[in-house]
Amino acid sequence: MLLSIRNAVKIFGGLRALDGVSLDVEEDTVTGLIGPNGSGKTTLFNIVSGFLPNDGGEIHFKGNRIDKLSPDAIARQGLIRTFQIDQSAVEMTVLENLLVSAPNQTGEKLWHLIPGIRKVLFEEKQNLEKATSILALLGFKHLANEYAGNLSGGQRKLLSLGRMLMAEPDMYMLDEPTAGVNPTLIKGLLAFLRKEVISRKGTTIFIIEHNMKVISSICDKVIVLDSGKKIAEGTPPEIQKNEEVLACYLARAKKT
Amino acid sequence: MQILSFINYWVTITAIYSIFALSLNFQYGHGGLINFGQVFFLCFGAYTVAITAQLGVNFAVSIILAMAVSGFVGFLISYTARNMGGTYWGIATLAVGEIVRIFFLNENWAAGGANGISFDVKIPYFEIVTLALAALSFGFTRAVMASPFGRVIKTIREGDNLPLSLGKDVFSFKKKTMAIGGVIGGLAGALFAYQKQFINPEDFMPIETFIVWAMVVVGGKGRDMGTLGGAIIIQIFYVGTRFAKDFLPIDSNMLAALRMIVIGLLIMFVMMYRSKGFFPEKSRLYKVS
Repeated sequence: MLLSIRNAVKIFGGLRALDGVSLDVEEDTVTGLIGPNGSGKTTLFNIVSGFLPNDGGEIHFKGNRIDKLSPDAIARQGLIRTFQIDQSAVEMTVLENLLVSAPNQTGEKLWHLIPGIRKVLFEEKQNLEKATSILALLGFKHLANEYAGNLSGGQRKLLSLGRMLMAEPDMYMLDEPTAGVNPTLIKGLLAFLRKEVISRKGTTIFIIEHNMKVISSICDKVIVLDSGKKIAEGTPPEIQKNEEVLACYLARAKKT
Repeated sequence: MQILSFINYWVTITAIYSIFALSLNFQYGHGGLINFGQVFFLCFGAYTVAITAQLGVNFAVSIILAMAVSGFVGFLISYTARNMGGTYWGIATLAVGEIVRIFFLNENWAAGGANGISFDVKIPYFEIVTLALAALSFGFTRAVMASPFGRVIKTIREGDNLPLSLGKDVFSFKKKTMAIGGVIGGLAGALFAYQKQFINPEDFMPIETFIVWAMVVVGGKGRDMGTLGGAIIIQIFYVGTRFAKDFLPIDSNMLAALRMIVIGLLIMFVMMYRSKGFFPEKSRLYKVS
């Protein structure tokens, strides 16, 4: 078990955004997380990645308890997330966005800059080569020195995947990677995910997604949240037939 | 002869303010830390030099002490940034700057209170030493910004979420950014004290912070060369307006007020027409094969 969440609770004022959610993400699988708006999906991601403190329960990653750690410490353990709202450094170039994502850089420690200058330069060269190959995968070679702020929304989603490839995490947490992306680009994004990410051995993905096509084409397992509770878990075909899941989506649709 | 000594004075003061502006540009331009109390670095640097020089400590040692004290102050103040974001922290630093000044004003035992401290130490070739130190500060900030460390603080400038999600210890980087800014600012303060040979709390009014901000904003935040340009432009206005009274029928009180108006107008002009400053930031371009 790579990630295991036990009884996660998050309370915002009087609202129980997460009400005792337990779930597991197994190594080398793609696990989808779906649910109506406001069901607690992003809150769960925020708790797992340490951006919000949890109000109860335990979270273990690779056997270590992580729910009391800071977000950067969790990321250093090999769990990297993306955000629903793009967080690209828009005043930096596409290439700089990738370079900064490389983990454990010696040159980030001030005291190592002078005595370790050869190592720093060597790492820079390696990271530049790696970033260049990722640029090629993304089809972004011509955009290397372009400001990330000049990219379109869809291109920025791809860039966020590129940053993850650069970071080489043990587990990818993707928060709606296809939201706001046009259907053609979604196909491209999916193909990219399948070819360059999922096919890599030992890649574990935990993904929030609304698009059922995306879910059924890449997920091994789907977990459904509603009002802060887990209501179903199973393979995509099982979930699509599950009456409780259908009811919760339909009930919401009727209300609005 | 008089004009020569004036040029000498102008070059020295511009070099000192360039160093001071580099320290703010490092924190704000590169690191995104909105420090409205930048003057406290000048203050700590200057007082450290004034106190140690009075005790007979030599030039090099007193400057190093000033940098150390000021860097440590920067490091301490960065702790307030832990739970405070952006502009709120800016207001807190403004308060810290005033607290420091008022402390030196009222605590007579510490450094002479309102009477200040004077010391008589002449440094040979002071202007050349100052210029060399300005060049050194410039080279230093450039080198740091070219390193992976610089890349991370540039990322932090746009918000904490991305660097945190990539495993960068944002708070630790902010502490280091403040400490480095403090060291450079302390150097400016030390040279400021050696140049004036007399300091008192009046020298460290919030207006000094305002002037150094004007230099960074007018020059172009995030670009060290721009900061130097900004320092030169603002100093031309600042010192140049002194000559205006030879040509215009106004007294010196009015002139002092007018000077700030001119600088204010300059900032407005830059904000409206060149919002990235006269020398906008440039990103490092890589060759991608």
